[in-house]
Amino acid sequence: MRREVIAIVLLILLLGILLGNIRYLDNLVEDIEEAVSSSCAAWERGDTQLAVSELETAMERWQSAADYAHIFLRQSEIDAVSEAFFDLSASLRDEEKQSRDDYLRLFYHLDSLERMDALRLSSIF
Amino acid sequence: MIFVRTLILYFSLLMFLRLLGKRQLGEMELSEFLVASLIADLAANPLQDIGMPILNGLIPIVTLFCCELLISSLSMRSIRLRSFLFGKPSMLISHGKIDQKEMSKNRFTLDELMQEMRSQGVRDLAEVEYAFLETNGKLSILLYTSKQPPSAEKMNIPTENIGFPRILVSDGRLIHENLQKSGHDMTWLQRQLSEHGVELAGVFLMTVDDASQVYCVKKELVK
Repeated sequence: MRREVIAIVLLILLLGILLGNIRYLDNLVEDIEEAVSSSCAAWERGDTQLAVSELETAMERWQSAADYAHIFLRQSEIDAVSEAFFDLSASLRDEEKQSRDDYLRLFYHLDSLERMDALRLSSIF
Repeated sequence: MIFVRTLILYFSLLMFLRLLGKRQLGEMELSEFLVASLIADLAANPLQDIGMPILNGLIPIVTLFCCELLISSLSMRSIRLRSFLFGKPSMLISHGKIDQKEMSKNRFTLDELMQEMRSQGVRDLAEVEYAFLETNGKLSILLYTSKQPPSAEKMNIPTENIGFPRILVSDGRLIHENLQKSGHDMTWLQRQLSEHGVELAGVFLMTVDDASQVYCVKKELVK
């Protein structure tokens, strides 16, 4: 009976970790997206300096979650988001017109992180 | 997410394999077979792909073990659940007559039946009174009473119950627990060793049964 209780407790614990992970990831992506949105808005207004600064805030938030990311996320997902950050940062500093696409690419990768672990039929199947 | 996927995969496979029938299972029960076939692959993936978090392998394995533990525990308590998950033994031969419908239902061919009979030392189908295809895929064959080998009891030969032999020394190592369970002590063991002219380290195997009969094999020099 003790083993069965341990099995049930383990399953409940895993379910708890799963829900906790979803919540943490949601919050992380939300924080980053908020900063990236501010950066995008500033860039659209022509305030490149503020856009770069907001983007750096978003990057710092992403880098602060590096330990979590390496435990729970696939390396390919981490690389994709990091690359999108660096590309966007470079195009903002060079004041290139392709920044719009780079913003969209970063949003796409961030959304993808959230989508992959969300409790939705599309992510299960 | 992987937790939910594992649960879905586990129960889907359980149902699929249940539908496949007991012939596919070999000697394992359904849920054991399922866990065994999944775990090797689950463990291999994060090992092969270092970009994949190891949790992606560990979480499904823990989930599967927990499910297996709960399923086997619940099935021990509930006959209905057991028969639902693992099925019931099928009687392929009853009163010496082959049940063709049951054979067909279990997709068990005559060749396989004859092969199983031969592997169990049965020459003639006419000797078999009952044959059951068990839930673990094994065939149990019961012979007619008149065809069964004679036992000491049937032949009225008195026998002595000597229990079973316990291993006391294995490859020079004493198994204290077995010595204690056999009701003997170190003094008795030392006496046995000196009677056999050997030291503990020189014993390959030593057993003792309930009638205190000792069987001793000395170590040989392996070149």
